[in-house]
Amino acid sequence: MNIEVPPFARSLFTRLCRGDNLLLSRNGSSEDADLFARVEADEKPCQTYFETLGFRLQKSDNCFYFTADDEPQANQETKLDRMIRLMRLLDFLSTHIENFGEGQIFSASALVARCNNDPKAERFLQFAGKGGATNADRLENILQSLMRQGYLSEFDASRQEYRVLSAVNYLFEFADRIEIHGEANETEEPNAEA
Amino acid sequence: MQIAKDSFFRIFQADLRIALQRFFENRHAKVTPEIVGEFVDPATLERLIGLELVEFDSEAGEYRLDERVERFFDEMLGAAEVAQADWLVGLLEEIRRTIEGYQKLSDSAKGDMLLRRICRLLRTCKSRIQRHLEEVKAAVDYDYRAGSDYEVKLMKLEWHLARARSYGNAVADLNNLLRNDAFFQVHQEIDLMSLRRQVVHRCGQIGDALIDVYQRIEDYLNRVQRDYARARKLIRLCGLIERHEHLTATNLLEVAATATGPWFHEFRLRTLLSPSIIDGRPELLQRALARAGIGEVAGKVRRVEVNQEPLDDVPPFIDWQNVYEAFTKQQQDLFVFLCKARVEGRPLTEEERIDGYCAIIANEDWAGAWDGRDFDLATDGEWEYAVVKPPALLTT
Repeated sequence: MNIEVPPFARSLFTRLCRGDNLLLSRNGSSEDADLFARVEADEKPCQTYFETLGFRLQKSDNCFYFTADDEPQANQETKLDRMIRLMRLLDFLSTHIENFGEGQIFSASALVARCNNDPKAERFLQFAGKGGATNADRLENILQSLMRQGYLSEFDASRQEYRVLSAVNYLFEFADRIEIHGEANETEEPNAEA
Repeated sequence: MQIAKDSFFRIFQADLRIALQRFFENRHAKVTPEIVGEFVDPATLERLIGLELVEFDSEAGEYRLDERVERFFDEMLGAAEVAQADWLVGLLEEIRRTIEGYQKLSDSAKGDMLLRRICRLLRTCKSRIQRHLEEVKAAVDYDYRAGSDYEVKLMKLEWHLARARSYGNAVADLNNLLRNDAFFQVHQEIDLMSLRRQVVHRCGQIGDALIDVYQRIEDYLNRVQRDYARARKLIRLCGLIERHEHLTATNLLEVAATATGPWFHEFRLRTLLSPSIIDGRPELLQRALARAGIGEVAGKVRRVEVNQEPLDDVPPFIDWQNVYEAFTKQQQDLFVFLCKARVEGRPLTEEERIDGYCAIIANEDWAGAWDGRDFDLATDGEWEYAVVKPPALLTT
């Protein structure tokens, strides 16, 4: 069977399979944004081509990533741990960064100021930002890790400002899929008690 | 919004508060030294100028807010001000009143004056309705992006939606008036006709553009509501995780089990090379990519042959041992048997039939069954073949 190979297939494949950053965001660096636009324009041929090689090119909200049929499946326990870490991270960021979402710019120093003397936030930083001596160090570890993974980019290094990339929508999808049983009933409880 | 605006000005000293609010509300008008006396007493005005909150432009002969202060107010108050559509409703009323006055007049000189007034009002409408639309769009974008909590955002966006709708209604009223009012049918002055045509055209454009604005606001509202709901859900979920109730009270386990993608996998190039070699030896990666068919490409579309065929075209794997065993348990000769044999629910193709015939005859394990025997010859279509009976019949 003859398949048309998009001219950017190699760069896309290399971009999404190497290193820690495995997500291609629409609002990423100029190279990423350019590649994103080209992939989006040729999405179908790209998907067909990579599918024959055993890779699925997935599109989330404004970002692309690969999955593969024979990806080494982490065991259930590991996946659950990662999911819990993900939810706690999203909760932390949504709570302490106003309008946390794609395109938002925030300052790490402002974030540290909000976390200091907030026991819940400090507990989270100790849990997630291992290796740091202070809250600022721990937060820095977390942000650097998120940057390496392609969820954030540095906006203004001198002011410690970061920008949230579209790849974060991939994480939000998991939060959206989670259902809390009996949520509707519980919200009615106060009235019922009254 | 009025309440929010009033409360915002409380950050200033009480004696400056009202004066600043008045300057801000009249920032688009010319505040001459005669008018400024109505806003503020001379002593307070001196203080405002001393604090560089207000400046006097001696060339234009007007007082106005310092540019930075005005921008600050604009940003802090959102764009609530600009989205007001009351001016158009007011203008529309004024046009109606003027038309009514014109129709009641018998003095032609006064009539001309009223006609000129109607033309002037229409010109104002024409120049301002497009600008107002742009201001509404900017205000919506600003209030969506500006940092305030979800509830404030929702409130502001709902307010914008209501305002945009009322603006749309006012534009539609103006359009109706110009198209259907008897006054505009009767009066055929060139100025009036030309203006009427232009404003009607502009109203049509604004009506179309407003549909996009409504959709944009609704889209923003949906996003804010979704983000708000998600934030609340995450807070509750983390509470459950803290209390170790997440497995029973949520479907977290199920979502985790089916989760895929970078967060959950160490996603690597599928190769026998170790990750350290892939990352550290780019030339080996190039070879692996080339083998996968995605090596260096000179920036243009090319075609590759991949070994993937539609499921229906994939030939079945035929176990000739099974076929031979089935052949030995019946009485027809091999060629006829193969003609009737079925694999995966379908008859063999002619090619498979010949392959099978040769494979069975040439198999060393079964050769003993027909060694040293003579075979009759028969024909089937274009094929001439040896009639090979099953071993049981051959021996009898």
